[in-house]
Amino acid sequence: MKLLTFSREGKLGLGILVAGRVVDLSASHARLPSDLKPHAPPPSDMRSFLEAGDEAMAAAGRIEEWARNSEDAVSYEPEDVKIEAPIRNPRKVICIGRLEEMACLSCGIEPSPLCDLSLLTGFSKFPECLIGYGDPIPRPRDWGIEAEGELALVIGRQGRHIAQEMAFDHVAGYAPMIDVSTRGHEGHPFLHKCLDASGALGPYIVTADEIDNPPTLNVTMSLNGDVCQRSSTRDLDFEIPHIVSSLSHFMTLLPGDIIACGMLAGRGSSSSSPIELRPGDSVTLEIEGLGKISNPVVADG
Amino acid sequence: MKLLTFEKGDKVRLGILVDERVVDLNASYAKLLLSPQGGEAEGIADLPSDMRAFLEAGDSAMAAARLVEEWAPHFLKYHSQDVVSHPLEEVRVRAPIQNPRKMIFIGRNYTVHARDVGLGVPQELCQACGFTKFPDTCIIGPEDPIVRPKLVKLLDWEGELAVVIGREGKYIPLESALDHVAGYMQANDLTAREFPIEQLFLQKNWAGSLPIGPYLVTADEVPDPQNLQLCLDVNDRVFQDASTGDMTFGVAHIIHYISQTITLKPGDVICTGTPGSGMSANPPVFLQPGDRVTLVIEGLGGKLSNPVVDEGS
Repeated sequence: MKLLTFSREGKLGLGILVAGRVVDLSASHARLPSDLKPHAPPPSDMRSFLEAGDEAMAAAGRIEEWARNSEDAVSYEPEDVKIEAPIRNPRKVICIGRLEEMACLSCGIEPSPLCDLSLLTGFSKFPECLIGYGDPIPRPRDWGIEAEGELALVIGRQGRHIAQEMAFDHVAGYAPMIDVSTRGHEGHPFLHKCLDASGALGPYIVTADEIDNPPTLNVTMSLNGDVCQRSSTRDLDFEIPHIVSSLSHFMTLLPGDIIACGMLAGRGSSSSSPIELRPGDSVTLEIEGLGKISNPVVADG
Repeated sequence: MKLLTFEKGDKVRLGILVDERVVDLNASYAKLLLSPQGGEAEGIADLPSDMRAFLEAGDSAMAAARLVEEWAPHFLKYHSQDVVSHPLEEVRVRAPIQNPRKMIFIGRNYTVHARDVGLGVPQELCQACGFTKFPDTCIIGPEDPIVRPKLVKLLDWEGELAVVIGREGKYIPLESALDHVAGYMQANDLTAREFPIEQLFLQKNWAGSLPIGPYLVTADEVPDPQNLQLCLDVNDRVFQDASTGDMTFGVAHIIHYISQTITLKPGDVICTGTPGSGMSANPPVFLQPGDRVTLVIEGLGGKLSNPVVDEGS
């Protein structure tokens, strides 16, 4: 199922993409025949929907199936709505990183030889950093910016001290995420991952049942229509069960939490660097089976 | 004004501390609207019971709170039926703000501590380690137990001055940076030292790793945030006794700098660094289950005191 958040005529709504059209979950629920209607209408925002768990997911599944075959479902052409970030208010956005990258950018030092590289590290983005398809990425007045393409997973089931073999049970789905940071080693602002509008997420969350465990999806990053990086979700530095399990030892992972699983380009290749973004550029990330997100870059301040 | 969030029975409300009593801001304002003295009170003014919403409501909510603060001593003395208040010991004081949009931390901002972490004193703010903590995961309040995670044995404290933003801004000029401050709080940036500095994220982000409070003291009561004494003790043994004047980069500079890439919003919390920690002691001393750590910053009222327990106990 492809779950998304859209806005139309100033109002936000939850939707599912069915046969290329955006099915309005709430409005369609109202039209469901009584034998198909679940007890409660679907929640109106993605985090509440995920918190409502299996019941909400099953109800949405029934609407999806009905919408395929019935003209009574309320749906729109994608061009007639604004596709927003599929989830706008997660409690946490965690970006997993490579140790060398983190060390250089946070403290301006080389990683110590005592560092255990099998342990992950990361940064957080603020929930308010998330933007959706087509939203502008601002280049700050005094800093350059760069982008990486990431596979973001969305937590569906709360968990703490999650065993690795149970990790995928806690994943609701996946979405592409363009991860923007400020650029440059020298004089690097330390909160380089958290600048305004630095996480372009979407266009939708594809539920985990449609994706292999672990995901083996081709990834393409383009700048102004030219492909500049090709990679695969096979190239993650850390495996998803390790990521989910490790994080859950320190904190409770909650429905709606976003984990960006790390930069996808291969190590050591010339194309593994993040892509510099300048005002006027358009950056696009496409992940096989998860859709494509594209955003323009504008000057800020 | 000393603002706080408190719990009494099943209600969570905003309060102000007046003469060692907690005045229920929301309930008292409602009474003020109905009383003869309430002529200045605007019925329209919104006084939310959530601290972030209160700060986001801006000047009108703050004016309503100040009206209650102005009348409270008189009512407490002469018309106690016109104000809702409780003795401090009869309420549970929570973290002053539970849900800031973001929390930003400046590392290595005092000379002593910068040397302790082995990285030297930063020459410019961009070199100071900056990091964040998740509000939902990390915030706890005064007297809440610090739960040492199973994987952590080197649990360290860091007493800090925390700034709470009151006015939104981006590209904030240095000279007007303090105008964006709603107030200040005591904060203890608990840290798991077994992870190296390269894994700062794991050092800092774990459940309950940020006690804050008890009060959010409004900025008018703290005219100079660079002139406050900061004291921290563990089981009554003093480990930190320093001045916020020892900060390498002051509050105004920090606000100005962060706002060059990040829009600061009401309720946002910025922790301004620590003058030392347990690992600076000789030999290093870390928090153990059964310990109690207490932070007092001059002028911020009360103390931020928390007992330490083991996870699973």
